[in-house]
Amino acid sequence: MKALMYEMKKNIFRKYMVFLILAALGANILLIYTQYCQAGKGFSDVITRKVSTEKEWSYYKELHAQFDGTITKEKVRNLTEKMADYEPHISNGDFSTEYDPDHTETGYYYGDYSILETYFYNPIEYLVNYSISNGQLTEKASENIEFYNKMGNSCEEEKNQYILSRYQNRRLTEFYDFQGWKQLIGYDYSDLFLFVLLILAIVPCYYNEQKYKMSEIILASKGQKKAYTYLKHGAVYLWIICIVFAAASVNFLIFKVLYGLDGGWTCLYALSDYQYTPLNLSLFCFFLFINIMKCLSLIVFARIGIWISGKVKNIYMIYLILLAGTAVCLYCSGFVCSSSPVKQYLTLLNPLSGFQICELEKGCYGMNVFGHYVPWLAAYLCVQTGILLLSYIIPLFCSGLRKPGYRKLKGWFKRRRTDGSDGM
Amino acid sequence: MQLTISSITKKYRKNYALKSVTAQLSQGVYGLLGANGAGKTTLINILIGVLEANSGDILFNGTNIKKLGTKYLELIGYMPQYPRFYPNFRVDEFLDYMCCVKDIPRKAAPAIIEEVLWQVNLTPQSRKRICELSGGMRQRVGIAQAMLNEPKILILDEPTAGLDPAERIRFRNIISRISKDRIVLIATHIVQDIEYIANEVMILKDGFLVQKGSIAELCRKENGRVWEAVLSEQELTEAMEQFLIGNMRREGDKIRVRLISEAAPGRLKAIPAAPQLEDVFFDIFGKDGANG
Repeated sequence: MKALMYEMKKNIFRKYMVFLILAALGANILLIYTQYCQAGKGFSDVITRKVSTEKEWSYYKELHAQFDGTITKEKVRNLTEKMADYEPHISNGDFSTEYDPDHTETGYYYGDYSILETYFYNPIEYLVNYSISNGQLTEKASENIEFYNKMGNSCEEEKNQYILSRYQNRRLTEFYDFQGWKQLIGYDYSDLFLFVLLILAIVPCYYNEQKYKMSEIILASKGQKKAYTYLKHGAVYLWIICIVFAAASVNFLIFKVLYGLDGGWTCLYALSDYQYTPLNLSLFCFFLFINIMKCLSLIVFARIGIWISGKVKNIYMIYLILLAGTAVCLYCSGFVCSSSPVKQYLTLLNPLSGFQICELEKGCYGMNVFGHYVPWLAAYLCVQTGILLLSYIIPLFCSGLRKPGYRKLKGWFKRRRTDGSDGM
Repeated sequence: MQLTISSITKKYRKNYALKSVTAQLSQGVYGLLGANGAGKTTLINILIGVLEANSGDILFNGTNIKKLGTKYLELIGYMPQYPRFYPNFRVDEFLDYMCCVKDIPRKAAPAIIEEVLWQVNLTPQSRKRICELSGGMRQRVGIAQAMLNEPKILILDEPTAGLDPAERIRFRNIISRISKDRIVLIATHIVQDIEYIANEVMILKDGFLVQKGSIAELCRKENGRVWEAVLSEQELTEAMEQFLIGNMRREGDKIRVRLISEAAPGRLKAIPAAPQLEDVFFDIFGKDGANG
């Protein structure tokens, strides 16, 4: 552990890095706040304290206090009655701006109705009806299983079996103010800072050893493999976990302060964007899952980056390759939801495809692998784990090939093949 | 204890860095002399296992170092040319890190660090950052880290480069003190650094081992070839065309020179001089541009 800390001290625990981290966190907080200030403007369905009036916000909070929690028949009746109360005033559709503070909460009939409908009626209706619409989906999946079984299409049959297993018996019974979670899950500006901090940790990995004349000293030491390979990799991986955790924590805290993050244990499909997600995770667990996927993606990306850093001697070239590689990988990660099989297979090889997990898990994406249905996420995890393991196994194998014992054995087999003798 | 260098050859494309270098080293201090590009660092890199020779073997006590593997690396202490180390590390932190790299048990590390710091006289500077140290102190840190694993073979590449005379004397004294029961190989092109402390000297030129032996033996070979004369400016100009002129010192309007010649340079009224190691070095390398 101490050796790992020393390794991190070499290139990561430096004054300029501390400054950069603080600057990155500060910029991130600023971005979140700017986004918060912009949210709710125009045709956005987000309501925040910043863009609403005192009365609107007060009414909004009052309603949440009334309707948050388990959805009961009484609450539904209450809501419907409230909506009905406004019906006579809004049925003419004139969007009147007549100010009537005595009979309205916000001062305007359309203001009250808009809040009720957008932030309470529609979402609660979605939650209440979810089990019905989901039931129709699973029923259709059952029919499809039978159909594809008759047709002999095993891939589609497996896909529908997967759908049935994942989407069965889903119900939503609780209502909260989920807009904070929606904003938090969709927020990805902090990813930019992750890449910058990661590249700054990778680039000097081997370059600094050459610069400080330490490479030969380390390679001439007993623990060379440990110091020149595993410690470096371990330090970068630990750094990835730290920065992802730091960014996630800061994001979580700021969003909690600005939006509030109630109902974190409600299922992910409580957000209408995720009604077709195959994941049966809570909102909070999905947020953790996104960050775990980012860690895994960055670890594989870092493994490749460290290899480049060891092979390329020019520091500017290393920066260029890593930056260009990041840009290309991020661009190609957008193909995750593509219908083209070629692009889908490409995304499996791309380590940064894990950053698109938010988009991907909005639907049930998978691929046909030799006639079997494989969910994209499972395929991606297998491929990336394989890439990571092979990146360690292949060099070990190659170094084994160079050992005298192996060469002697290879020579013995060669002689045996050519002259039939045992080569002795 | 014996380190055998057996016909080591190293080639980079068509250029030979080392050609069939053979030597046997046992306990004591060895100087590896050579001009820039002679092959000293290449030989050292092969000895420490960082570079692989195209042909030849290195044997330690009769066993090929490739077979010994990490057991051989346990025996090595190495200090490279112009070490800089990690500038933001403190001296004690850096040595602690090197203990981790050299797989020294954690419990034993503090005592070992204290010992090596004392040996190189750096105990007062142990809490300083490496970037705050002078060149000489940094070289001593280099020796200290090389000594952590109590190596049987200590290899120092240009250890006095950039040091002032006082630091160089201090360095020579440290080496003399720690060279007991060890093979110490010092690669340098500064003759004075090894003249006082080396038991034997190996001289590399263009990848060949051209001379090997004790300083007395090498100087004996130069007997009758080293001369001293006091010349005028005109005589010096003529002499430079005919002979290999080494050190010059102005004495009034005359110049005292040291020159190398097979036969006595009679008309210069030169007298034979006792050969020094510098003369041996100069005789081998002098033709490559020292007359200027």
